[in-house]
Amino acid sequence: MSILSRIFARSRKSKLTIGILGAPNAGKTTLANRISSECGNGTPLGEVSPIPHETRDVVALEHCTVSDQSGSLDLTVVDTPGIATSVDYREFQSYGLTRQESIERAKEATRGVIKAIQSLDRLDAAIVVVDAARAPFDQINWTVLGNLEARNIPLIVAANKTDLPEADTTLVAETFQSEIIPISAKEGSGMNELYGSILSIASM
Amino acid sequence: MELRIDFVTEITTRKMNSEQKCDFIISKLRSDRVVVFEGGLSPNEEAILIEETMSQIDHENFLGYKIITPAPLRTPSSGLFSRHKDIKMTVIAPHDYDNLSVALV
Repeated sequence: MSILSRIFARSRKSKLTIGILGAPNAGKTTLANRISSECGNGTPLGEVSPIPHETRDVVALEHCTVSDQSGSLDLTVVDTPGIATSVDYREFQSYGLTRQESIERAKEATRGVIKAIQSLDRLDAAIVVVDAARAPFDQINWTVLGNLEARNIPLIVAANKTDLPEADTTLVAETFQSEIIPISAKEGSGMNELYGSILSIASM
Repeated sequence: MELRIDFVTEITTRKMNSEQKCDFIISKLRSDRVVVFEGGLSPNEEAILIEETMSQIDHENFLGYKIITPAPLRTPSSGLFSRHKDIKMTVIAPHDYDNLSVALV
């Protein structure tokens, strides 16, 4: 190990709580499940569904170890519900849910959004998941980024769903004027780069 | 369809704290009005507005809102000692305004 690496390893945090944030259906829980699986956790962190607001509670995975040649990091991964400015129960009806089921889901979704906002206060860092297969101009992304920056929480922008042909990671990078990590949480591509970014944040 | 836009000047918004701004916006949204906030909302105020909105959604009449913050417009300096000024606005509309787009020109 070089002298620099030793200094680097000594100064790195040994524990980090990182949140997975973003708009509904960006692939946050798919990413959380991917990380959970690669950490050797047998059970997924949450259910994945095409219906928005499938994740309606904050779920944490503790003691996920990420390592490189400089040492290892004890990671707590916090999967959060999608952040939105409106919740319309009729959207859920279009997926075949009854009116009553849709209203119940909408009620849980509104509570989930509040929990996601409140979770910001317990994070050391964040992964903002953006659906690269959709136009990334949703104001929610800016609200999330602005709040993380205002709280001085280091963040990584992950442009997800690169397995889809319509994914445009260049547009995501241009929109946010920042470095992004292209990933496919579903297929696992880009995960090594993502872990590298997390380790870099732990060294800040 | 009737469209009512309430333009709230920076002189007015400066007198409000974050909670007052959010209460003001939600009361306007409930009356089906579009609110234009000169000076915009801070990220923290946007987060407070989301939390407050989520706690007030009744799944009947009030379902939330759409928000647009167009890229700030930089005015040219008008003289040797005058400085550029960034004009910033936040536009907030009831949630069913699907095709709302705003630009500062």
